[in-house]
Amino acid sequence: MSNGAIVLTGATGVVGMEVLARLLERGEDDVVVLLRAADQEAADRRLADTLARLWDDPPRDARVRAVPGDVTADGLGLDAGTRRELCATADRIVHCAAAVGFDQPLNEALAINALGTQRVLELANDLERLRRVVHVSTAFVSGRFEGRFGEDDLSCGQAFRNTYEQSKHLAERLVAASGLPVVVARPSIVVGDGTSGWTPAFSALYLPLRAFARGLLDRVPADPRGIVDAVPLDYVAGAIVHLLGEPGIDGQTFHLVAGDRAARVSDVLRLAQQRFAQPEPVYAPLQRAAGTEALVPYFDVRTQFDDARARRLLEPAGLSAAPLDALFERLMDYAEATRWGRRPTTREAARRAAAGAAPLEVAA
Amino acid sequence: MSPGTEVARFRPDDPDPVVQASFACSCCLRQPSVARIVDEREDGAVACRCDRCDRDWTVLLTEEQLLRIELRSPWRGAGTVVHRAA
Repeated sequence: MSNGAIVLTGATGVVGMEVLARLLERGEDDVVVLLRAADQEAADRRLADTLARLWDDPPRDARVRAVPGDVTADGLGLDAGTRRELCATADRIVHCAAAVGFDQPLNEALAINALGTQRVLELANDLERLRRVVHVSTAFVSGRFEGRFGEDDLSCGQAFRNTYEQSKHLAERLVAASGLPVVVARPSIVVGDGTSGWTPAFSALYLPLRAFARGLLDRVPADPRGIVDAVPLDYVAGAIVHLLGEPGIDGQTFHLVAGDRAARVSDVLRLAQQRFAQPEPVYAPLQRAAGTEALVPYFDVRTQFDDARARRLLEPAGLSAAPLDALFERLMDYAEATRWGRRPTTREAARRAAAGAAPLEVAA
Repeated sequence: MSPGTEVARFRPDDPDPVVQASFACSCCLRQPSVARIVDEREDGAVACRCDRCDRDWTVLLTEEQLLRIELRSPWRGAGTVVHRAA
């Protein structure tokens, strides 16, 4: 049986963009990218912009096309003809689209992360030859759970740090109730590519590191024993593409995390201190009850993620996550070379530079 | 500087009310309905919109000011919807 097309949401985000690159490099499937856009022309433009962030000269004959849509609209905002065509020709979905801001109002986070997922599940249900949906969630559906959080754990009375976690948790419950062949991928904090350092966005862990590099953090509201579970982009995207095709794993959840190899806040800040020649940070005490929060929400994590199932499946396929201390210099080299994203490079240029074939060419 | 462009005047260690003052709508003095954080030029900027007054304006930020609002949002509980440029 020939492959149907893959529908990809969230291709303009960090993980979705790398997944798109890998699917196109593999060249086995037609990829239909659902992009938030008013019409076909705008969707085509957004796809072209995305491809231009990946390749110096984006492939012209790539088996990829854009369709305008919106995960917050009924029926994903697809026109009837497009939806009919997708239902007849697509057989897999990778759902990466998400609102990742930690300070989104709850209704907005729910509209995108929970209801958006429900609409993707409805599309999946309508696909005539549905084989698999990979739902990209987050390890932080664990919320503030303290202890070991397993791949089969979801609801354990945890409180949530923000509306992002809360809405992603609800999305997973919708997935579990769907009865569809869905695999859940739960990455932790995603940093740049483990080899080139490339990333299309410098948010999450990069923000406090950038502030530290600028000498803005003389007192750090953080728990030095907090767990910083970060994984490189290539591992996360490679795993997602693998999960899309692996037989016999429907209904399972995979932690794409550092797990037992995760760093501590003190490790990360020590690395940053050495890298940026800054004085040793002074930790300010955290008093959650008084409303004093960590500098970033993920500098007070007490959750250890178990990833036994993911490692059992992915390591034999050559997919493993390098620990953050091994990646740190490479990630910071790329961050500084691109001035934390203000002088971006394509993924292709970053890979070329990492291979020693050319110096890193940053935008003017 | 184009019309509708303002310059933020706060230090990274200022408390939230001082930071918020830089983003207040000049007509109604309330916080913007929507704040879109842009970090893609030499320094940063926040594109603000006030739905009540139907006004749009941009506040320019230094890198330090940008990191301050990214790391510790001044709009928690202020009813402002915050977006980040992709």
